[in-house]
Amino acid sequence: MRTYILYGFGFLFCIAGIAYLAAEYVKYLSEPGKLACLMLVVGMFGSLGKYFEERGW
Amino acid sequence: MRRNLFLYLALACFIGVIAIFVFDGYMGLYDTLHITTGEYEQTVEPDQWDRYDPSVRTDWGDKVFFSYEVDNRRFSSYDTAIQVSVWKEDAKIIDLVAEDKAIEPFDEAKIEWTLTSQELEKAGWGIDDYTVEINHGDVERKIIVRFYSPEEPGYPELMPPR
Repeated sequence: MRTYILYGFGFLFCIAGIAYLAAEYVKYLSEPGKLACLMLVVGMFGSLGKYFEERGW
Repeated sequence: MRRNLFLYLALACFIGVIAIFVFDGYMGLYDTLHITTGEYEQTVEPDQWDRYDPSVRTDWGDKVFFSYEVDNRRFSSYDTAIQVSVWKEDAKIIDLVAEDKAIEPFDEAKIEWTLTSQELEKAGWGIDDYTVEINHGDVERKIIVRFYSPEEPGYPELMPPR
């Protein structure tokens, strides 16, 4: 149980770190760049979701 | 291959995002300023403009040399009028530079000018702080120039050698 809690914390910190770095970078992106990134991120999460769905998660 | 198709797609999207970060970060209009006074030279890099207005201090009577570079990393030409002027308390004192520039894609242009205390003196101004303002397109840059009396330096005097 304790291990899973630690995994949870690690996962959350990773997401928070990536979100912070992405927010810092996004400030300097142009408007078309932001739009293209948004579309790619939607595609990335959509594909990941589909991948896990196919694996029966 | 088919089993991991969506995983590869997700990976391709992630690489695409990173590629946009790199490409978009490189593209754009970048300006760099070099200021030389006495034996000191300072450089204001493009990413420093958003953080603070750079400042330079010099003795009254010394010259301040400026070298301003505009790097056009875009696919279109950048046609603009570059204007440099000296301001004091929201009033323009002197025009230093007024040049029309046409910078080709992925090319750069450089302009140089000098600010002297004689020019300020001629305009009826004395030892004080002034703002040098650079304008072109929708870009506005400000540099604070602080003049000090050579008799009363604004920095600690060096100890004489024993």
